[in-house]
Amino acid sequence: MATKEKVKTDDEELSVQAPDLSYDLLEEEDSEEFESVEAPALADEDEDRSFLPVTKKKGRESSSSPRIAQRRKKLDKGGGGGAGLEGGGSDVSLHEDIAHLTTDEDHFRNEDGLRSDMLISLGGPNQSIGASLLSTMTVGEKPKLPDADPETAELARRARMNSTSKDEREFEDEDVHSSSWINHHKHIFIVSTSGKPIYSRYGKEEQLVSLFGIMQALVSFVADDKDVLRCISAQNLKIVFLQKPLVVFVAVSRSKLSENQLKLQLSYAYYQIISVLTYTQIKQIFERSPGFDLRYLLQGSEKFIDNILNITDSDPCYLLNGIRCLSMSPSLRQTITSTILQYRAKEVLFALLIAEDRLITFIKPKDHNLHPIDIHLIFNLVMASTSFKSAESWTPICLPKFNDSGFLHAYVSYLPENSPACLLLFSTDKEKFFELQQCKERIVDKLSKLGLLEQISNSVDTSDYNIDHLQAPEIRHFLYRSRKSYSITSPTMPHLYSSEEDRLRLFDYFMTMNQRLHSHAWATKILYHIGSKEALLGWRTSNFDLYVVFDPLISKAQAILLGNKLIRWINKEEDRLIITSTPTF
Amino acid sequence: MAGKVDLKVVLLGKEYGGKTSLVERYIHGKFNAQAPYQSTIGAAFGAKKVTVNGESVTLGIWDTAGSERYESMSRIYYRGAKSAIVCFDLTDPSSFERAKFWVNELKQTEEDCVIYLCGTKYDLVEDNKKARKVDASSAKEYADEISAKYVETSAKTGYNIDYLFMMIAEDFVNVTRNKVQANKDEDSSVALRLEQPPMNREKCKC
Repeated sequence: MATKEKVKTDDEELSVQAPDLSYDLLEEEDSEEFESVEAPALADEDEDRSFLPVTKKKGRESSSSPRIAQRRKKLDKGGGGGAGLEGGGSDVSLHEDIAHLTTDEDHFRNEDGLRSDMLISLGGPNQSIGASLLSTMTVGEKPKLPDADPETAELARRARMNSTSKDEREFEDEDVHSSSWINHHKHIFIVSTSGKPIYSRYGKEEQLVSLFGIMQALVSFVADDKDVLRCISAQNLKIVFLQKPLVVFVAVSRSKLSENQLKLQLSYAYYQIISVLTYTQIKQIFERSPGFDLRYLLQGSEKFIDNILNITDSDPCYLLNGIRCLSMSPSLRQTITSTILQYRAKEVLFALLIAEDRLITFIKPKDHNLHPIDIHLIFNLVMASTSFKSAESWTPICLPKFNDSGFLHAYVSYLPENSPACLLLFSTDKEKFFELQQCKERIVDKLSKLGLLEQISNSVDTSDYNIDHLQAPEIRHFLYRSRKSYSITSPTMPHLYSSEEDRLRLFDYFMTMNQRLHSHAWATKILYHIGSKEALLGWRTSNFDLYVVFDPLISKAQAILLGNKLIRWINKEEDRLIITSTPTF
Repeated sequence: MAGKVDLKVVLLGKEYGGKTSLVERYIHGKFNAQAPYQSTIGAAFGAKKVTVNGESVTLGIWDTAGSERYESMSRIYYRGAKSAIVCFDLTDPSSFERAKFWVNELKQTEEDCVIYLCGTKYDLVEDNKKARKVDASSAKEYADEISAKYVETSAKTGYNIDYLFMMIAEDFVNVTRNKVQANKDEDSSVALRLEQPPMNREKCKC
């Protein structure tokens, strides 16, 4: 690795002597290039350290949940680096994750020229089943897969998503034979291992019974050989399977997300279901009657699955495994936290104060942890539902990473005076509503006496920030994730990125860079990418991940200079931008 | 509103039966026809203070989720409830069947709970007799059978809403008073629930 750029990783200072590129991967379509500056394959730092610490020992890939990492490790044992990608000038696009019908034993690399057709690594029968799945996807249409500008379809979808109310399932009645159905950017299906439809992101499940049957057949066919079906690639279509006990999750995606990222997204759907029903309940039901129609129990909660899929499609925090924090004065945050701690009832297990999808503060017991995925599910619960605004609620919710076998009970209430901040108090005891209600009253009284209620509202209103004062107009945007606390912060999206198309591109870039920085097979520490519309810097150290978006005409040396300037500023302002420590009791 | 709750009232019934709208109308006096349907998760709690014969009574109202997913959990919400409003949608016969389920459930576990059978969405059937799928006389008949009171309400127009909750509060006060009275008289017979002729009753065309 002939790199002249020296990177002192841990003291977070980059120095550049001559921006001589080293390790190029060319993306042929738009001749964009990524340069990775540091040698790959560095073992990822241990991310287990405190704050939102995970309960289990994590795998190497910090970008995904421990369970997935574990699972992946297991999967990879047989076939070598499951999601590895050879660099060095192959025409493989940077973000693509290989695996044409990758299974445990058969591991296929995305070789030159193989992308134009679906690749099947197992024998003939699979091929026919795989082909029939694909052809079913295009039923009633031309035999060829329509590649009619999925980007546009995706944009339209997101636009609709914003304009329609959250509570109606807008695509529930979509005709599954229409071209709009086929052209969706990303389909998600959930099916029980006995082949019963559970959920389809678009269209009614009843209309898709045969498609669900094929998915189930594919999975069980491969399972017969004591193998696990992970992914089928065909042209620009990726079909990813996530197999959980008794339930199979399938993503059919035209997006640039990697197999692992799609799996993480599917995991969110899985955890969302667990959060509504608990794993124990699902297990009991299916063990008792394998043909049970789970939709009966999920009724009314489809919108939570819809919502978590929509958010994971557009907000990078979810797949980057970090919690977006509300930026606010550190002393205010401190006072709020200590007030909650001080007036905490003994029944309270966790307490969170959130404003929409941003965390203001939270407290937890010393011996228990709250995983980012659990926090995201809490965000999703509050955001996808407006009923909390009108009354105090007592809501059963399972936090799967904390404990997937039972419910916690959440007292949910917005702070008074139409505050945008929502307080959640969790207890293990379903009888303690009034205790938690009183606890909230005491907290609110105190905050009110200190005059903080108004300050909290103001902080939420003014939490968006920009980086104009850095006097670095070349920096358009950034996203910073503390690896210690799993907190994420980023400034307001600049006007340049007001269109959904631009945001989507940025989202894809972040995901791609994340994949490059964290996939252990060829992880790099610093990435520099020049695209036609912007230049990007990705930087991973043991303390943080930083993604910076620059003006496209910037030089690499300048980008690194500004990256350093930015990180100095972030370090200085860290207490305001993110939550740096979690008080425990 | 953390404070003492004198009377625990629980709303039960099939999902999409209008329970949340009913409570919203009563507590906040509003009804949003534009708002999309929002299923309740778990249960929501609301409290309201009313004055009955100069006595102040705080109603603690539990609006439960209708979804069957939470059925097994509903008990924690109705346990110890002194009054239950079992709702059904006048335009949905299956919701009436579901109401019967809840009545049986209550009869078995909460003997002392006073049941009010409530047909919701009256505005939808007021001018359109065809929309009505549960007919008033059979609902009334069933209510008599289980010795419950029967009311038809509309959260949209506010029809009979205050009346319903006022009736609940009055019954509660009267029962407590009767109990006190009964204890004084050492009369252990079933307390008479003297029913005042409801003011709004004649307005109801059912």
